[in-house]
Amino acid sequence: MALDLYLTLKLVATIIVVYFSSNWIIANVIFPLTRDLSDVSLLEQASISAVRKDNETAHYRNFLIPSNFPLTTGLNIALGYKFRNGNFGDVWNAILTNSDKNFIRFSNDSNKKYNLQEINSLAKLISKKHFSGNEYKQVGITVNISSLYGFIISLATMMATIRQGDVIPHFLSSVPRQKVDDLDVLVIDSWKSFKLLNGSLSWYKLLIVCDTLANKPHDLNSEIKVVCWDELVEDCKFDDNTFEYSSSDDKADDFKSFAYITSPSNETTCFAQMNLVSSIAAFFKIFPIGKELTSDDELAVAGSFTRSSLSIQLWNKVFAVLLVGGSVSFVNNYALSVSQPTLLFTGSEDLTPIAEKMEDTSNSSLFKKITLSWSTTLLSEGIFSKIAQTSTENSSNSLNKLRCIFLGEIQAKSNTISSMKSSIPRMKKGIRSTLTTIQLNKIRALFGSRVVAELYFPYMIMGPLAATNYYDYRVISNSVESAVSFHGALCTSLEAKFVATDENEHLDISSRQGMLCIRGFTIGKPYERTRLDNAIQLSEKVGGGEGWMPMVGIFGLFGHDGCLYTYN
Amino acid sequence: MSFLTNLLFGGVKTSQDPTGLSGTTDPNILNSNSQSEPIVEGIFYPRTLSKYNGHDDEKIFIAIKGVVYDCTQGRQFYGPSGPYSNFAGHDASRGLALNSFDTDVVRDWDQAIDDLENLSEAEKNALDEWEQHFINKYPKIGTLVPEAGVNDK
Repeated sequence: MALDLYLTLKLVATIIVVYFSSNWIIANVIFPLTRDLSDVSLLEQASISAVRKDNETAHYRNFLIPSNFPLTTGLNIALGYKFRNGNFGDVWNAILTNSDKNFIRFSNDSNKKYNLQEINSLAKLISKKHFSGNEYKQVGITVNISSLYGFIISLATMMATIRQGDVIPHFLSSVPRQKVDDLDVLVIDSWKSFKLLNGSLSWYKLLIVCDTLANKPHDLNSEIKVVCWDELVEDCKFDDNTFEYSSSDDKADDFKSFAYITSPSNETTCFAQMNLVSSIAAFFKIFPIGKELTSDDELAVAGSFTRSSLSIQLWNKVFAVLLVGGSVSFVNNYALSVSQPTLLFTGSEDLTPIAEKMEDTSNSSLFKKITLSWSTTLLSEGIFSKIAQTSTENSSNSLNKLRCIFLGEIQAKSNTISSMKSSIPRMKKGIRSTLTTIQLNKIRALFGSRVVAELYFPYMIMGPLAATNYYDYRVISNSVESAVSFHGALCTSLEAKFVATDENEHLDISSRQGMLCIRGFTIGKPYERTRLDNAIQLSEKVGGGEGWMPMVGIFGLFGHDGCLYTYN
Repeated sequence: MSFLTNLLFGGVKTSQDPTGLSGTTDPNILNSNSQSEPIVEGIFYPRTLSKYNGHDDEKIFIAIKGVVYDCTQGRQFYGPSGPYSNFAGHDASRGLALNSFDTDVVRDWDQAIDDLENLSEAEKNALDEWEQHFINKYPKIGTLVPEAGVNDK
């Protein structure tokens, strides 16, 4: 009896010792050697200025950009012994020079791969035939950019902008209900939409209907010029694979506008060529060493970001992938059976339902349930694994090559901010609009892919304001996440600070809390005179001048890890 | 909870609170960051400025014509054993005006602040050029004023 007790005690003691020692070895020896990124790096994600003003936090930047070094401002193209930032002309010229077997696939014809020669021929033809004179100022685009029509017409207008500078693409949320000054051309999706224009037809000089000639109404008797897609591209030879462009010595093209975008609340923002090239350069810098963009990459763009009103956010990624010789696929939903992308850019509201479906599939089998649990446990320790990668009926093969998902999260107060109102609101607890860190890890586990969550203010900034690190899989406690949303480090072309406001005295500036102000090279300019004046006044009054743009109503803090957190 | 417990019972490791909102932030994180806590822009006396010479404090502050600049990024010039190290933590106005690195052109913290009155026109112009260089290159972090009872004339 005594011997049994002794043996039992010995067994229990052995189990306890083995348990704790293996735990210690795993945590202190194995994990530090196998983690994608060390804990120390995750706690140092920002460059912080050494000094701050009394009512402000220090200036925070991405850790890749030390204080006093310039933010990411463009493509650094050599012009003699100097560098210039570049513009769309340089980008498209380089894309065509580097093009080989890469292609673009569109949502309206997902089985056909268009090579860049075909794309270029179509865009150049439209640009020369229709936008080469000084007749038009703005081309209003309401068509989805994921379609061949939307993409080509946008590209044609961008070509015309850089060649002449008079005509500019204007991405609209919907067909205008009131006359927009200088909007001379309108691009709509079908003859059905054409019929709904009624009296507004007379507002335009040219109407482009992205539909076939066969569907054209026979009784069309319009006073203005109306052309459909077939007429637009007739006689296209598809043999033009060049876009000759060389910048003038005065770099004048670098200062031209790139595009206008109108939000659903009818506010227009002007983005410059500088914004485009800076956001392209910043996108390249998201990738860590050894994981850079290559010609093997295929970017799938899915969901809400392909809508015309949000499309300004996809050009930087699309051009960056094409620049390295990669390919792009536009898809309506994440039904990617036709392609095996390596990168996916989509909105959180588009991906969440798919992730939920995949989780249900995982829960249907005990083995899959266990692997999902293990995978999320390992991720929280900083170890990435693909053991729980799940397939759904829509995505059986599509996940094989997927290496990173760019999950666009739109700030819920984006519209309020772009209105440039001068009154600072009191902070109110709102509804969380972004995914929690646990949800992000579940997506990583289910898709077997890294996830970079990006924070967007789509009508004010081109590209994200902040993005989580490629290797950041930390899980933040529920108590913290119920108060704040985690957004990762700032984008390399922007810097930020928080300022104290009289309306929100409970936010302690010495604890790095306050109202957000940003400065940098991807911020657009309000088009309307009143909003522009308001923005200048706001910058002086709240941001302290010097180019700082207050994000009115966005309250948050910088963590000890240098990351941006906003109050829910 | 430990890794094995999480693995067996389906938990996840929660990282230390990086925001400080929960009041449970790891003291190690707080300590490591407190060293780099930014200094609030404001008023400096020659006595308080002298500490920021790159040696007693890692940061390097230099005053020119009553304005203090953070020159920490120019450590190779102004830091210990740099060619202009005697300017660090001091009012460098006279030295820059005379283009001299001698120690006697830099006043100690317990002396009156240099009023630069006896500078020639050319020396004043040279100082203005240096001032412009500092404005363009380094962030302004405060002003230098005399401390009553210490820097009286």
